[in-house]
Amino acid sequence: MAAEKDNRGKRSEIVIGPHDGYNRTEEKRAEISALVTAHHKTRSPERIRKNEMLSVQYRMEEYLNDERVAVDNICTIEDFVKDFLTVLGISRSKFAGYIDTDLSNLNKYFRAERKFNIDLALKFAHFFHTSADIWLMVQIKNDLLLLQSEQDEKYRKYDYETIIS
Amino acid sequence: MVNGGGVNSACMRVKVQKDAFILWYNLYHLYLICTFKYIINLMKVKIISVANAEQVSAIIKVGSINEMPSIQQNWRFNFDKALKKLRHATGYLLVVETTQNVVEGCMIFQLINQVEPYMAFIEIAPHNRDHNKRYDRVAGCLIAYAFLQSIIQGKGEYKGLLQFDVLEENKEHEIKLMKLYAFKYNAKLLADTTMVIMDQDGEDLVNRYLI
Repeated sequence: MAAEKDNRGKRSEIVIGPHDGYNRTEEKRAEISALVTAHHKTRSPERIRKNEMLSVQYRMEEYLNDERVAVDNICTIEDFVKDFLTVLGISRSKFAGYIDTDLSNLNKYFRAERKFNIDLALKFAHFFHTSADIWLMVQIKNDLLLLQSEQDEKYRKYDYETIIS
Repeated sequence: MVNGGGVNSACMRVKVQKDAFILWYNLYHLYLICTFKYIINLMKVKIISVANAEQVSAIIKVGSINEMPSIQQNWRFNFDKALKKLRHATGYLLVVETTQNVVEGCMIFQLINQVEPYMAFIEIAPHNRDHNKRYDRVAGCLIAYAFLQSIIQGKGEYKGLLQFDVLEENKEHEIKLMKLYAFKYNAKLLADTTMVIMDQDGEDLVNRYLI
C-alpha cells in the first residue's frame, strides 16, 4: 500500500488507510479497550489534568486561527478562563485571590469595564501554563471584531490613496 | 423504456442518497460546532518548501465532500467516498494559504462512539511524493493535528490517545512502516497492528509541527 525506504536519502511515504475505526472485531475492540484502560490507570493525575488543560489551550489556538469567527460567535477570555478553572476545580473567586485581585475586579476585566492588560495576561499565562500572548491575542481579536462591526465605516476614510494623487 | 426508467429511478435514488448524506455531513459538523462551542476546524501551520527550504504558510481545514481528493486525481484513495461511508468522520485538508484549491495532504479523523479518536486515513498529495516533492512536513502537520483533535474531542481515558492501524499485505513492509511512524511521529505499538500516539509524545508533535 505504501512504499517506504529508510531515511538515508531514500523516499518515505506516509500513507494510512483505508481503515474504519468501527470495522473492528469484538475481540479487537475489547482488547483495545482493555489496553487503553490499563494505560489510563498508569497516567498520573498531573498528566490527566495536563490533557484537559491542553484541550482548552488548543481550542484557544484554533479560535485564534479561525478567520471565520464573527461578532455573533465570539469566545471571550472569560469563557476560556471558566473552562480552565473547571478543569482545575477552582472557583473564580479563589482564582482572583491567587492572582492578587478580587472577584469584583476580575469581573470588571471580563465585562470590559477595565482594559485587559499585559500584567493580567502574564498572570494568566503563569497560572494556566500558557503563553501570555495567547491571552492578549484573543482579546485583540475580539476587540477588533467588535470595533469593525460597529465602526467600520468610520475607519474607511483613513486611506493613503485619498491623499496621494 | 423499462430499462431507461429503471436507470433513471436508480440515478434519482443515488442523487437523493448523496444529497441526504451531504445534508447529514453538514448537520453533523454543525452539531460538533454547537457541542464544542468553539469553531474547531482551522489551523495555521508552517510547511517547508523543498525547493528553497523556506517556510510556507499553510492551513489545515475541514474539507467538504466535494473538496476531498480521489483516485481520479491520482491519489491512492477515494477520500470522498470514504467520508460517505465512515461514521462520525471528518475530512481535513492541508492547503497552502496562497493556493487553497490545491490539496497538499488529506486526513480523515473519526471519533468512535463519540469518545475514541481514530485516524482512519492519511495521504500526501501525489505531487508531494518522491522526486516531485514540493513541500515537507505535510504528514507531520496532519498527524499532529489529528492528535490535537484527540485532545479536544477525545473523552475520558481516550483523551490524548490517537489510534491508527498499519495494515500491509507484506509483513516486512508493515514492520518497516511501524518503525517509520515510531521514529518520525513518536507512535507506539498498542496491539497487533494498532499504533497509538499519546500524551507527552503527542504534545511534543503538536509543539514541533503546529504551535
